[in-house]
Amino acid sequence: MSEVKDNPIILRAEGISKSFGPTKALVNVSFEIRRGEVVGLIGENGSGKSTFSTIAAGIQKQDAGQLFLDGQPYAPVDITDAIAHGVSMVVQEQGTLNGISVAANIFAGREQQFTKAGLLDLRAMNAAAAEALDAIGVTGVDPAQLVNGMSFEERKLLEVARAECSNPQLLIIDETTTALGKEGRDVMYRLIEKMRKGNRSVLFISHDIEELMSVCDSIIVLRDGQYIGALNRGEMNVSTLRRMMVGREIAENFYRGDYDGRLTDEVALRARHICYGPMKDVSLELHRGEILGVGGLTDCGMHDLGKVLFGALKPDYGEVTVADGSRITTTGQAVKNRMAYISKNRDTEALMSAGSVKDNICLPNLSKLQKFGLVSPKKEMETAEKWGKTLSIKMQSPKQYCMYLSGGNKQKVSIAKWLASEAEIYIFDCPTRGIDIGVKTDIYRLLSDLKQQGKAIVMIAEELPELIGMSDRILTFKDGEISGEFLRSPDITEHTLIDYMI
Amino acid sequence: MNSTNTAVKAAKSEKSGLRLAQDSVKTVIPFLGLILIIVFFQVVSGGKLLSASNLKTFANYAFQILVPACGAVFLMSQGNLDYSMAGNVCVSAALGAMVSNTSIPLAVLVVLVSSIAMGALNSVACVLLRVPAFIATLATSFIYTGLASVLLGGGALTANFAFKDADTLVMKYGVTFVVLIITYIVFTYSPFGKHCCALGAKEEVAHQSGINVTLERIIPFLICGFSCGILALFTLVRTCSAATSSGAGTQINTMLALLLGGIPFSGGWSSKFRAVIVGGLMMAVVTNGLVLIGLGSELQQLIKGIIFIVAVALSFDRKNTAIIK
Repeated sequence: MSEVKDNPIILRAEGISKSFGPTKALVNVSFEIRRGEVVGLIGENGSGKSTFSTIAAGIQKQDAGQLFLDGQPYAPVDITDAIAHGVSMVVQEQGTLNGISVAANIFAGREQQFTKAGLLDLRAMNAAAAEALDAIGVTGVDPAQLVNGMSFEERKLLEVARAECSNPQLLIIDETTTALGKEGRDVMYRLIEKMRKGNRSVLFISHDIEELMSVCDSIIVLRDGQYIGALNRGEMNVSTLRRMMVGREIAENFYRGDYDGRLTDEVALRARHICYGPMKDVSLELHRGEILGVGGLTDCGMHDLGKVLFGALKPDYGEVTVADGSRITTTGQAVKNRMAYISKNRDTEALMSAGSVKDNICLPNLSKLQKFGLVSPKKEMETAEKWGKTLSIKMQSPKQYCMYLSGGNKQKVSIAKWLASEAEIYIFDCPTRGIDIGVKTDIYRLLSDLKQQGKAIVMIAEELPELIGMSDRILTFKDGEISGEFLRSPDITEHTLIDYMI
Repeated sequence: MNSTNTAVKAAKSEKSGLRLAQDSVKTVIPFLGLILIIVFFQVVSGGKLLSASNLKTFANYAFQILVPACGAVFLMSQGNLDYSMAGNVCVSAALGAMVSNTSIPLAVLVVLVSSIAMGALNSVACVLLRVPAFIATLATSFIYTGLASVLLGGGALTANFAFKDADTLVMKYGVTFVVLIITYIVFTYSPFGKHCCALGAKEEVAHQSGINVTLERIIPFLICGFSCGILALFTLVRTCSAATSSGAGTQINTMLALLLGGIPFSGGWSSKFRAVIVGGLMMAVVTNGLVLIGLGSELQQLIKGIIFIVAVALSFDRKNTAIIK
C-alpha cells in the first residue's frame, strides 16, 4: 500500500479539541487522510470517534483546532455545507425519516434537482433513487415505498445510498456495519472498494477489529479523546490494537479457554416445531450448564426465536416448555419459570432509558422485594446497590437515570435485572452488540460463570468468533431452519459455520 | 474498570450531577407554584381564601379535583388519559338519581357499577381495539354525554333527598383523605403502581420483564371509572339531583391538576404521587379563588385555558412525543 502514502492529502486535522461541559471528548487530535485511502477509526465507547466524525461532517463544531480539505481550511457550517464540500456521513443512529418514501429519504434536502415550476417530479426522483440504490448494489427495494415498514438494516443501506449519491470525496461511515447482516456488510465493503478505486477516501468507524483490519489501509486509535497512534496495513495486529485502545494488556483470549462441553444432560428448555415468520419447524433442547449458540444471517428468524422462547412472541405453531413440562406462552410465565431475556435492541426493548438504574433492576423482581405486601424502597435500593457493585456498573447512585450511562453500563443494567431475579434460563440476543472490549470481556466472563453455576444459556449472535469462542454447542440457521449443529471444538472455523448459513 | 477511562467517566458523572440538580429544581417548582397561588388568592380575595367560612366551600373543590385526580394518576403515569370522565359522572349520577327513589343502597351500587362499566368500555376501545386513548375516550365521551341527555330528558332528575344527610364536612374531607391515602400506597408501593410507570416509560421493556401488558393497561381505566362513580355520588349528595351539567369539566380539571403537579403527558417514572396533592390543591385553590374574587364562569374557563397551555408547555417532554397516545 505504499502508493497510497504518496497520494495527496484529502483531509488534515490539526489540534482538534472539543468539550461537552467538563467532559473532554477530543483533546488536540491531529492526523491526515490521503486520497484513495480507507482509514479505520477505533476506540472504546466515549473515546471521541463519533465526536470527530460529526465535526468533519458538519454536524457540530470543534472548540479549537482546524480541519483542512484538499489543503484549504475547511469549516463546514452544517451537513449540507459539508456535502457540498464532498464530505458525507452515514450516522450511527437511525437517520431515516418515517412517513415518506425511500426516494424522498435519499434526496431529502436535495429535492430541487427534480423540481419543475415548483412541482416535484416524483417519477424522475424515484428513477434516480432506483439508480442510486442500484449503484451500491441494493436490489428489491421499491423507491416509492414508505420507509416505515423497512427493517433497520434496509434503512441503513438507504442512508448509505443517500451518502453515496451525493458523490462524496470523503465518506464517513460511523459504526454502521454493527447493524448490518452479512449481505448488508457486503454492500458496504463493495462501496468502500469502489471509493478506493475512484481515488476517493473513506473514514470507517467500527468496534470490530477484524473487520477494520481486513478493510482498511491504516487504523487510527483514539483513547479518552486523544490520538494514540496509527497502524499501517503491515503493522496491524489484534493484540497491539487492543492494547492501544484500552491502554493496558488485554488477555489474548477473552473467550473461554476450555473445551469442556456442556455440564449436564438435564433439559431446561424445550422448543418443539416452532413456526413463526421465516422460521419453519424449529425444535431444540437446551440443557442446564450449557451455552447454546445460535447463529445465522440477521433475517433468518433467529432473533424472533429468542422472543418465542421467552413467550414474548406467539408462534404460529409449536410450543415451548420448561423442565417440568409447563408451557411458556407469555412473558409472565417465562419470568415465573425463572427465565430471562435480553433483547438485541437494548434501548427500545431491554432497558428504560428514562428510568433509574434501581427501577430497571427491580422491575421483574418487585414481588420478591415486598414487605407486608408492599414494595420496600429499602430492599429496592439494596438490590440495585448489590448488583451494581457485583457487575461494577459505573453510576453515581442507583437513582441515576440510565440515559446518562454509557452503552456498556446500560447493558450491565439490563443483565443485572435478571441476575437479581436469580433466573435459571438465560436468553441473550447479541449480548455484546455495540459494546467496547472492556465490558465485552466482563460479559464473556459472566456467561462462563453462569454456565459453571449450572444455568442454561441461549446466546443468539451475529458475530461468528463470539459464537465459536463461547458456545458449548452451536446451531446454525438458514432460511428459518436449523441447518447445522456443532459441538464445541477447536476445529470449528468461521468458514465451517458460514457454509451452513448462506 | 481501568484507570485510563477514569478522567472521562468522572467528568461525565459531574455532568449528570448537574442534571440531577436540575431535576430536583423541577420537583420544587410545583410546590413553589402552590404556595405562590395560595398567597396570591389570599391577598386578592382580601383574606377570604384561608378563612374558616371558606373551609366549607373549599371542601367541595378539593373533593371534586383530588378524587378524580387519584383515579386518573394510574392512567396518566402510563401515558394514557380519559377524556370521558365528565360524561361518565353524568350518566352514573343520572342512573343513581333514578334508582335512589327506590333504594339508596341500590343507587350507590348502580352508580359504582355503571361508572366502572363505562371505564371498562373505554379500556375495550383503547387496549383491546388499540384506538389511541385520546380519540377513543373522546368518542366515548360523546356516547356518555348523549346517553346522559337521553336519561335526563334534556333537563334534570331529582334524587332521594335522604342523600343530603351525607353532605357534611367530615364526609367530604374524610373521603378525600382516605382516597388519597389508598392511592398513595397503591401508586407508590405496590408492584402495580410501579408497573404503570414502567409501561409509561417503555411498554416493550415492561412486556419483556414479564408484565401482563394488556391487563395492566385495562385496570387504570376501571380505576378512573370508579373515581367518576365516587364523584357522581358526591354530586347526588350535594345537590340531590342529576343534571346535564353534573361533572362538567372533570377531565380538564383532572388533567390540569396532574400536569401542574408535574406528571408529563407521556407518563413514565417521573410520575410521582405528590403531583396529585400539589397539582390537585393548586387547581382547587385556583377554582375556589376565582369564584371568591367574583369572576364569572366564562372568565374562569378562559383563565383555566391559559393555565393549561402554560402547564403543558412547561411539562411536555418534547423528546418523547412518539410515546403520546
